[in-house]
Amino acid sequence: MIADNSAKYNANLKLFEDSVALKNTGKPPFIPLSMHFFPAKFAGVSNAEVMKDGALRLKCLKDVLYHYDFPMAPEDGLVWGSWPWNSLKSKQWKKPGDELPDDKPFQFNEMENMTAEEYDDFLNDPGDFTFRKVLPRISGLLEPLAMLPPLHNYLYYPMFSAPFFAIPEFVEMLDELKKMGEKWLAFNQHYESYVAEITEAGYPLLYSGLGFPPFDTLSVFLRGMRGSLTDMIRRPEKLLAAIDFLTERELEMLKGQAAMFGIPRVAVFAYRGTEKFMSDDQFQKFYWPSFRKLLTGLVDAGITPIPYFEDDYTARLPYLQELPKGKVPLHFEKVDRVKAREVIGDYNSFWGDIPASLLALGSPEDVKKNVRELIEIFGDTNGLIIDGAVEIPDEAKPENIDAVFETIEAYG
Amino acid sequence: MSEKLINAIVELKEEKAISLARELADSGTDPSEMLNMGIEAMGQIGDKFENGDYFLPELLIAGELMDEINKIVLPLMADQSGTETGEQVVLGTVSGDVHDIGKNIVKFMLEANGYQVLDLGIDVPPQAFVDKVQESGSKYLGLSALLTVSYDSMKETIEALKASGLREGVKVMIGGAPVDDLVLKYSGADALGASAVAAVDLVNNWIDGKAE
Repeated sequence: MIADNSAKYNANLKLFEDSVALKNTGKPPFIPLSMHFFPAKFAGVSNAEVMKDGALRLKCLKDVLYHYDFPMAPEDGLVWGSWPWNSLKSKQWKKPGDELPDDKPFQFNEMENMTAEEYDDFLNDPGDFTFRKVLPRISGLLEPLAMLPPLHNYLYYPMFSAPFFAIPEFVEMLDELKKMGEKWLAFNQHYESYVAEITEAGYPLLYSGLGFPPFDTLSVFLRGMRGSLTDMIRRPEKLLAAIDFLTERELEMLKGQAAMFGIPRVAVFAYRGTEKFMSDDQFQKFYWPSFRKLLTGLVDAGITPIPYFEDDYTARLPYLQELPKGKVPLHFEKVDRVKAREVIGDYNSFWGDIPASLLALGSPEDVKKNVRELIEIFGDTNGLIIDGAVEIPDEAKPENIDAVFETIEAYG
Repeated sequence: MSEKLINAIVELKEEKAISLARELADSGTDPSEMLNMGIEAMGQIGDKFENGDYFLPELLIAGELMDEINKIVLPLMADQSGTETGEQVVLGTVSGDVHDIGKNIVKFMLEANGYQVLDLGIDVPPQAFVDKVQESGSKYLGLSALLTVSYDSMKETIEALKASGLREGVKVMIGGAPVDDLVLKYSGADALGASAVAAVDLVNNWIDGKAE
C-alpha cells in the first residue's frame, strides 16, 4: 500500500482529484500522462542507455519530475526496459541499443497471433489458447509451450505432464524464466524504492495499471489490425463474442492492478476507435459498448480510469457524454477544442491536445499562444489539465516546457 | 457480366466476385479487360471512401479481393509488363517509425486514381527513398509517419534528396497524425497531405501544374 500524509502529497493529489471532478478553482495543473525518452534526452543520455539500465531510467524520470515539479508522477513509460523482451526472445519488440540504433524509440511490430479460424479455439478455452498458442508465437523463449497438449488433459492425471519438463528445450526455458524472475524481483526493488522516494517527496504516482479498450486488446494482441478490422465485416459475431470475453477479463485485471499497488487510477490507451479505422456504425457496434463498459466498470469499482484517445477524436465526442460525470478525465491527442468544450466540457476533465510538433519544433511564444487558448476555452470548466497531445514528446525543447508553466502562471 | 463483376467487387461480395472472375476467365475473356474491370471497381470504391460510405475495413477487404482476382487474371496475360501504368509515386513510412495505416490508405487511394505506387514499406532509411526515386525516375514522393521521431527522419530524407541532386525534380508530400505546418516547414517538404484524399489531390494538382 502506497500512502503518505505529507502536505505536498495531499495537495497534489487533491489538485488532480479536484480537476477530475471539475472542482479545481485554481490554476490548471500541468500533468504529463507519460514520458518515453524525454527524461533521457533531458539528462543527456541515449535511448539505449535508459532501455538497458532500469535504475538509470528511473533516476532520469525522477530528475525530470523534481526539476519541473509536476503535481503527479508519470509512470515509467519505457515498457520495463530491454531485458525482459530480450529474455523472452520477443518476436515483436525492437529496442534502441539492440535491434535499433541507440537514439531511436522502441518499436512494436504487430502480428496476427490468432487466425480467423481460431476464434472458436480462443472462445472455448481462452487460457489454454493463450498459453499454448499465443505465447509461443510472440516469444522465442516460450516456444516449447506449444508442445503441450490441451491443459485440461491433466485434470485426471497431472503426472502425464512430467516428461515435458525433462525435454531439453523445456529445461532451458524454465532455467531462463527462473533467471528472469530473479532479475524482475531485483528490478522491483528499484521500482519500489523509486515510488517510495517520490511519494515521500510529495508526488503521487499518476496511475498503476495500464489497459486498452477491449477491441484494441483483440486488435493489437490477437488478430492484428487487418484481421480485427476485416472481422467486423466477415465474422462480426465471433468478433463480438471475443470482445465480450475480453471486456470482463480486462476489467478484472485492471481492478487487480489498482488493488495490488493501492493506487486507484489506471490508464486506458485507445488506438483504433477513430474515423481513420472505422465508420460511426462500426464504432457503435464493435468499439464503444465494450469500451464504455470497461470505463464505467472501473468507476463503479472506485477507480479513476484515464483514457488516452489517440488521433482525432472530434467525431466521437458525443459518445463521451455517456461516461460518468466528473469521474473520467479525457486525454486527447487531437480534437476540435471548441467542439470539445461544447460537448464534454461540463462532463469531464479536458486533458492534453498541445501538439507534439509545437513542443518539439515551435518557439516558446507559439507554445504560450496555444496554451493560453486552451485556458481561455476550458478555464471555466474547473477541469482543465494541461499536457502535450502525446505526453511530453521525446524531442520537446525544455524551454517550451517552461513556456507552458509560464502561461499557466500568467493566465491560469 | 462485366457489370456484375464490378458490382460484386464494389459491394465486397467476395465469394461472388471471385466466382464471377473465374467464370469470365474460363470463358476466355480478355485478361486486360478483366484488369480494367478491377480498376473501374477500385475507382468506385475510392469514391465511396471519399464520400464517407466506406472506411478502412472496406478498403482492406477490397484490396484483398483484388489480390485474389489478380491471381486469376495475371497468369493469363502473355505479357505482364504493361499491367502497371500511371504516374509513379514513391511512398513509405520514414525511418524509426513502423506505423503504416495512413500510408496504406494513401496507397489505396492513389492506386484507385490510376497512380502506380512504389511502396517502400516501413522504417525506411533516407537513402532508400533517394535510391528508389533515382531508380524509378518518379517525380513524386510521399513520406508518412505517426511518431515524433519522424520529424528529423523527414528532414533527413529531404536533405538526402538535395545531396543527391534530385530535390528540384521531385515534389514531396508528408502526412500523418503528428505532422502539421510546423513539421512541413521544419522538414523542407513541399506540401502536407492532411488525408488520403488530400494526398491524391496534391499529386493531381502537381501534375496539372495547379500547385507549387
